[in-house]
Amino acid sequence: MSIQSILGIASSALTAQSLRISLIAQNLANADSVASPGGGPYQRRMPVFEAILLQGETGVEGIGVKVAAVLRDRAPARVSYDPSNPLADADGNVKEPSINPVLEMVDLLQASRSYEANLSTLETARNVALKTIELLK
Amino acid sequence: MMEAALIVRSTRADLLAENIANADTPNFVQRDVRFEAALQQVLEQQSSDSSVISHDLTAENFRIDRNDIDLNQQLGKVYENSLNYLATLRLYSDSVARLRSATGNA
Repeated sequence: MSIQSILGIASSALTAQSLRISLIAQNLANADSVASPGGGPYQRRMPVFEAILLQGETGVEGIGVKVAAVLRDRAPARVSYDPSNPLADADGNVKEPSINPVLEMVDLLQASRSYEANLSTLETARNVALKTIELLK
Repeated sequence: MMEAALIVRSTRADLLAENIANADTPNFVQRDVRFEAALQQVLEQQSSDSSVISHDLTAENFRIDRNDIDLNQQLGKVYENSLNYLATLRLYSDSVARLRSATGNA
């Protein structure tokens, strides 16, 4: 078992899933943000996963994964009527992010499950390598 | 024969790791090897280059993002592959040990 290539493959996935989890954290933290640096309410961020060729010293070592892009959700913002809000427009409407915390939590569970699966791949490869060294003594 | 089996097992371990890493990638189809066929390929080509093994593209049960990787199934395959690899390795090292003691090198 080439632990070197499996290390590259699994750790690329750990990085990608960690980024996914931090984007979920960002979405949850900003579920009520009616303002954002670019103007307008916060827009949900969604990662796009892409398979990539991993280059090592001996050429292509395998296929890993990376977050190719972080997209903004183009779903329309939720509009709520609140004329007393300083950010309300002429009709008294305030645009709020359309983030569903339940969906984000489910996504978080799936992301952490993927993370753990890749961690388990690493541990299995490491244990096999250690056993191999032991057997060949 | 045992070296060939070890090469196939090692290639399979890489493929399974790739599957698990790409469990969330859209349009990624899981890959695996058929052990008997792969073993035959390695023996015929008589090379230790693992690129001679062809990978099966098994396409079943696609999800909405056109990805068909089930983590539970993949983890089961990883464990099965590791056990077989270690068993083969043990047989291999035992036969090497027997050779050693037969030629007087303990």
